[in-house]
Amino acid sequence: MTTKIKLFLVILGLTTVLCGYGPVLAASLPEQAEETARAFFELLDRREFEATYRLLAPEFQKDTTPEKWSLRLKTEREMLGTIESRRLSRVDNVKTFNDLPEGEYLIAVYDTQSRRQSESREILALTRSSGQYGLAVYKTDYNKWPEAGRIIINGLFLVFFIMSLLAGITVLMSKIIQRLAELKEKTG
Amino acid sequence: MLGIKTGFSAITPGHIVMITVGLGFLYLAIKKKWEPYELLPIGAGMILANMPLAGLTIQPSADLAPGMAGVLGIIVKYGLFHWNILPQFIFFGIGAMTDFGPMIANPRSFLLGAAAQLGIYTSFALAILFGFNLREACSIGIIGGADGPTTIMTTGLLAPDIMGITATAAYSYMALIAIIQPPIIRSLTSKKERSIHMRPVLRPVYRTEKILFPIIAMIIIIFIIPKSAALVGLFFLGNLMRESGVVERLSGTAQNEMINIITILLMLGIGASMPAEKVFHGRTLLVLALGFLAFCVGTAGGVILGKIMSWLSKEPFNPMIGAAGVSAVPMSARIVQHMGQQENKRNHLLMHAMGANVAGVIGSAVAGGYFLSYFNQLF
Repeated sequence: MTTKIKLFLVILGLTTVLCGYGPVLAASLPEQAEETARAFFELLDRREFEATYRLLAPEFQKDTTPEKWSLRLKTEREMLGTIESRRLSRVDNVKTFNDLPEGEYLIAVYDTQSRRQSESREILALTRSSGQYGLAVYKTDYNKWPEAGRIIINGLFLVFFIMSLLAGITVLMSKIIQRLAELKEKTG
Repeated sequence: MLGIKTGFSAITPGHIVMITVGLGFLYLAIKKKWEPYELLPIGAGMILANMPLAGLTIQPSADLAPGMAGVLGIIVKYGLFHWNILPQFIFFGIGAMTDFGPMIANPRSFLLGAAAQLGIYTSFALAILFGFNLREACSIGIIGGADGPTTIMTTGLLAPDIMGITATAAYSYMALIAIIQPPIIRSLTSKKERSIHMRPVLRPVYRTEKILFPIIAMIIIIFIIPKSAALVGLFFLGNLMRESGVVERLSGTAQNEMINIITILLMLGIGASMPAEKVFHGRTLLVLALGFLAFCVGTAGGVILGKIMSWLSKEPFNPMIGAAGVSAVPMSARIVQHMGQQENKRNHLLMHAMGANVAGVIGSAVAGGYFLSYFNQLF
């Protein structure tokens, strides 16, 4: 190996460590973690949200109830809809992630294509306790704006449409009732 | 020393702040008489929920021993989150108290009630910009409808974690409506516009119209937005009982005893949904700010459509009436009446404003129902 290549590898290693991340692993998970992730996604894709609670790491089970976990999971997952493809694209070893307490985490990032989102990422944080990998967090990352735009446009349209429709029907109804009342008066 | 663990041993700064906020609510309700029916029980609920070791907010669950759940926890779990029945029954009572007459007599009010919902969608977009998820954004936006039960229902089902904050924001801003709305109305209208004199009396509305309207409106809205049925259905049912004139005892109960009981439970539940650990979050202030903005934009939306109507209308039309399109019944209508009188003593805008006000209730229920329907059909 030439000196230049050695120097490049040393700088690359140092940069990675200084950036606060552990070494970037190849896009594969340790066998046990892979099993947990696969079991989780199987349940998730079948909408068995509450059943995934047992895959949570014990220290995270303590912080939530199956109901709350299930709702959080559903909220996170619903915008993707049915999954068409899922590919593990990256695995990182980190000490912290979002709001998680400091610890050892494996962050698995999946590139996902789904019926609702052509491009999205699913992120799993896994942690090891008593020799087993358990879930810490599940997150999705997608562009919210197309969905938000749909909600705004459709919502506004519906509010104005329904209110205009009610206005029109009220005018019509009032005219008919007034006319009938006039006729009734005339006929005595 | 006493053989028991006292609350002092477990108190945190968060508890102290929340108890102080609760006391502030009690002060506003008792001394200032600001929305006392809502702010007093909310304040009391807030204080009780933040009493250390009291356990009043412990929610019933399968692994909890019998008798261990707290009364506030039971109200919150079953009344607001799990079954979500309290806001629906409040809507039933409101329906029984509502007179659609001014709105039927002046169908333009429907459009003002729609325009005042603009704030919902503005704050929704801003909430997304600030990183809230779509469910939370809907719950924050709906504060702009100025409609407590719709806010509670929507947030309780979409983002229960922020329900205490959104509901309190909605009721607090309604209490502050006399401070929030006038500057917005003044900044968007000229003195001349505010002085526009309108015929004080609307045409009389036949009883048949008042009976047919809730039936027709209920069927149409629920067919288009099925998930709005929980609110819209009960709202119009309550109104039908009132207008039919054949079930006076039921209508009377809905307007009085029932709504009073539900108000106590609902408001205590809202206060109890604000334990310190849920409120002391960086995002709380953002929710309050976005809710406030929703309120302001809603008012502005109504006034701007009012101005357009004023330009287009052959008859004199005071654009301030648009501000009553937010559904804070009857406070915003009273504000319009008061401001109208300030500018022109001959002006009696109350009945016109009440039409827009009642339309705002329908508009916000439609907006909330759409949010619920949208998420219901997802994955």
